[in-house]
Amino acid sequence: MSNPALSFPPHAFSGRRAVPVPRVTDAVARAAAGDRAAFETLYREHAGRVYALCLRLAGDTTRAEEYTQDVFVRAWQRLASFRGDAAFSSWLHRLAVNVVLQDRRAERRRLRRVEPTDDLGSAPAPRDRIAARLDLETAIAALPDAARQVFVLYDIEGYGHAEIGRLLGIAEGTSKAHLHRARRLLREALER
Amino acid sequence: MSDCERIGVLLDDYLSGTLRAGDRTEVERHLEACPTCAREAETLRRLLADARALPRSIAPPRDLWRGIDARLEEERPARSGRRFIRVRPRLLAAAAVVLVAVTAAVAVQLARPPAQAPLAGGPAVTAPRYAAVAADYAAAVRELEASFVQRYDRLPPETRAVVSRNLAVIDTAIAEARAALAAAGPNPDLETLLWASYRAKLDLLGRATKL
Ligand SMILES: [Zn+2]
Repeated sequence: MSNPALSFPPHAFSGRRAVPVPRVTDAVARAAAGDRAAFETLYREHAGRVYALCLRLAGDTTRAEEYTQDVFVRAWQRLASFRGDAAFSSWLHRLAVNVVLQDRRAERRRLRRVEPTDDLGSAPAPRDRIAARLDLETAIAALPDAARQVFVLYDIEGYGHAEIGRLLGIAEGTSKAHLHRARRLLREALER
Repeated sequence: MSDCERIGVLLDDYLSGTLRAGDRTEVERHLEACPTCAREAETLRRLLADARALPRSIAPPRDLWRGIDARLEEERPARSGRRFIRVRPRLLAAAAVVLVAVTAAVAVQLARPPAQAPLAGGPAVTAPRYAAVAADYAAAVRELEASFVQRYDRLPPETRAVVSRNLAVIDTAIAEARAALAAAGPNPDLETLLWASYRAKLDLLGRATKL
């Protein structure tokens, strides 16, 4: 191969000064070693993705802010165990799902102790019915907890039913039932 | 169950693309013939397309970094006037578990009963004078390491590889424990781990040199 352009990236031959671009992996490594500035860089880069996920899973902005903070604190504690065999963004994504779902499960157990409820039977919160025109996000937020979580994980995030079942501690068939219900409820909400 | 009800049940998997071929054909035939189900399928398809098109990133309504940063402070407090080395108890605990596994694995690999290992007891774990005990261990390790190196070439390659790998694990555990002790000061748990690491190393070297 005689043409160097084939074996080097184009910018290697441009007139611009070759500035080494810090790779994410460098920031991850520095953060894992305790560098808070590097960790802030990671936060700035990933906060939007984590917040969007927390918001949709929780269906509540205040909770989403709390969860987002929890996710990054947990990430900081666990960075040493991040092996780099998956992308950092995937690792963080999974961590966020776990943080939200574990907390939601704990919360459901707390609620059950006070007042046993079948969350499939619970109606969407009244505040969410006020809006005359429901956009999709609002409609998703108004879904019952389990239906919303399954819909977000399956139809937005692309998880399979088997994995969702494990994450939520439910059977695969139950996950399918929640998805069915979520899709029907959303369709009804958006048709109104 | 009417045809439409049956199709309604299959529609989810159909739209997810996870329906098997036979059922898929059945659904498609029905959708061609039944405007009601076709309309429902179309609405759902649009819904799913809209869901997939939702932004993957939403900026938090306020800056959350300050709150996070404040909590990081609590998680790993730096000590003023001391070299800051993070103590990672979970990692150290994991290393201790690995040591147990290593010792067991080596016992099998070398086919020697561990009971015959020299120095199995080692210096007393409860000895209060950390530095003196550490020095004893280090000296014992050096002696055995010397004779291990002499025999190293005569060991079968697989055995050499196993011993080397395990030594690396143990050395890491020793280094971690020492660094943590240097940072945190006297700590019985860390000392216990350090002595256990040294004993594992002596045990391993002792058996390896007898091969
Ligand atoms: Zn029909």
